[in-house]
Amino acid sequence: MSGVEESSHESVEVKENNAFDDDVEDQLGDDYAVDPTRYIFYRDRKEWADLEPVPQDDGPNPVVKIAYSDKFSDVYDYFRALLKNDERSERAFALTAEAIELNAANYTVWHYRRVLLQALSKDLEDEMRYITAIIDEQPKNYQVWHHRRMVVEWLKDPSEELEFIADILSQDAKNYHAWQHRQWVIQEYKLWDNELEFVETLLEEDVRNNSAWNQRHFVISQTTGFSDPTIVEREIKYCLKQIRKAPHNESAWNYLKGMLQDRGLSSQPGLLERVLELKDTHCSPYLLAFLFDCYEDVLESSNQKENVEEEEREGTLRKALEICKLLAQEKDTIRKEYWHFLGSSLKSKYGSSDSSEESTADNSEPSVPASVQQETS
Amino acid sequence: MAEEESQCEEFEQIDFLRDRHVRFFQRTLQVLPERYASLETTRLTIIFFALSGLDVLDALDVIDRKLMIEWIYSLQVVPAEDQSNLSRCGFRGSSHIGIPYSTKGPGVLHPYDSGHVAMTYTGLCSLLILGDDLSRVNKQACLAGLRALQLEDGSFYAVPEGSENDIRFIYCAASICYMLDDWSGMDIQKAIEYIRGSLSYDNGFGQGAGRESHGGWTYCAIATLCLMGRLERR
Repeated sequence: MSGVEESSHESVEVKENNAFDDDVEDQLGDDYAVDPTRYIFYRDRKEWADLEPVPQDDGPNPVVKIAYSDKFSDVYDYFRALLKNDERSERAFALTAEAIELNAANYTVWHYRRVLLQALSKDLEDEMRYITAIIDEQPKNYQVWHHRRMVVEWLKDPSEELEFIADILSQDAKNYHAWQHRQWVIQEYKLWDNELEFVETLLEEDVRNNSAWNQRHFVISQTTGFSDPTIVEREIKYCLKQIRKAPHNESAWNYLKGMLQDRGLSSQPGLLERVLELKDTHCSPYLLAFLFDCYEDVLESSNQKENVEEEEREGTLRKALEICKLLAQEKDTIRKEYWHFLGSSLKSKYGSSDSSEESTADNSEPSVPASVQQETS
Repeated sequence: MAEEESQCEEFEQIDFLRDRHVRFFQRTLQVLPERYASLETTRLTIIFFALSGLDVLDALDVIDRKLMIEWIYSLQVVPAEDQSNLSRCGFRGSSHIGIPYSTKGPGVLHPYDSGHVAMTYTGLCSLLILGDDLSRVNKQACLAGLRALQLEDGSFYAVPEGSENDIRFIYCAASICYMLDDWSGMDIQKAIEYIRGSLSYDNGFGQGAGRESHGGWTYCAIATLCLMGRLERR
């Protein structure tokens, strides 16, 4: 008898179609031996007669009320009843699967299911199969990934994770939950070995996949780090190669800058020249912005050196301001206010008082937007 | 040329359909169809969005503020007589657990009833939008509930039973402390450390250390520092 109620959620799908026939419901008691595929409300199941269902109570004036079907309410009325008594039983465990199928975002159901998994010493390998199927259907839900993480932690077994996540990423290469879970697994269980290779495969498929670029940074910074000059050179080469393939790829430029900005872009010998080489054939707002950042860094570090010629400094400033002007007026006009602002800031910081440098733009008022004036308490 | 001009004319004729937007938010506040079931546990955030929308449209007069305030207060998890549930206080997202409707204390003890940090945040916001003075909020209980959610690394769980932990909930926590004007609800320094650690190589913020930067998390990071008055010090 209980076999009917505890069948998998798959067969419940089938049952739904003939569930709401009034005549059928009248004959319930005798009939489920005759037609075991017919859906039966929990309130009509003998095995649940001991439990008083608990309805939702939104009071006299509910707000944002969701209009649940009879079937939905029935399942959750019994879920609430189980919760109230904190029942730890197989029937409770089975019901959580139904509740999840109706609303996989209900974090209380998932929590209760975890309580039952432990209380009933359920097979966690089975649970891995279950959660794998659910994530496959609903890969952008927070609760399902958290649940998987908990099960992996209990099992202390990450062996399926990288392959599983790769599979999810093959459906959506930027799924934030998948990447987050991947980072957690790799860090927790020290699974760094093949990750760079994995990243490169993804970047081969789509060089604009910013998540993969982020992962590249993650892997290297947590393993070899970026201080070894051989590694840095390898990465610069890699970036420039990708930039040649797709010049307007912001991710590659962000990575290049991000990798080097802490020690100063100008500290990398020859880099400025290598980027200048690309200026005519592979130009983009990002390339120009990178040049600006290089010049700014040159000015910053020459401030700290004593033997830098004034002329040299002015030359760098002029080049930087020319870039600002080019970006503001032609190459990145949507951000013209930003480029004007940067140009003005640079000028006021590094320009000399009796300057002979050109102005950056026609309206060179160094306006400081109100948003920059921050609150201090 | 003529085609372009008539296209421009079409654009000029598009008005901002204020009344329709108002009706949309009104309907949202009433009933949603079953396919919105996944929003059940976060219904209070939906109220917040709808009320904010009506507020921006200067249309809060279309709803009954008092009734709505009552309903929001029914979601408050208040201390039980024996105070044993203090670390679980705050606001629920909805009535989904099955606690009987009540806008007064003392709280009912239930093995699975607890607040959710994002619901406490949007609950307080919604009350303020509706003109409530928060006098019926048990501030000490909310703050106790909040403290129970912070981890060693400075981030927050959403619920005391455990959940994912990240920068979103730090923002919720900071907003709660700000609205209650009491920062004892969180360890500010640890939260700042977590935020700092979430700064990506591309100068945006990820949900946590090492993760890809994202507009939403960048907002959470900057807004939190602003609310704390610590933006300058970075």
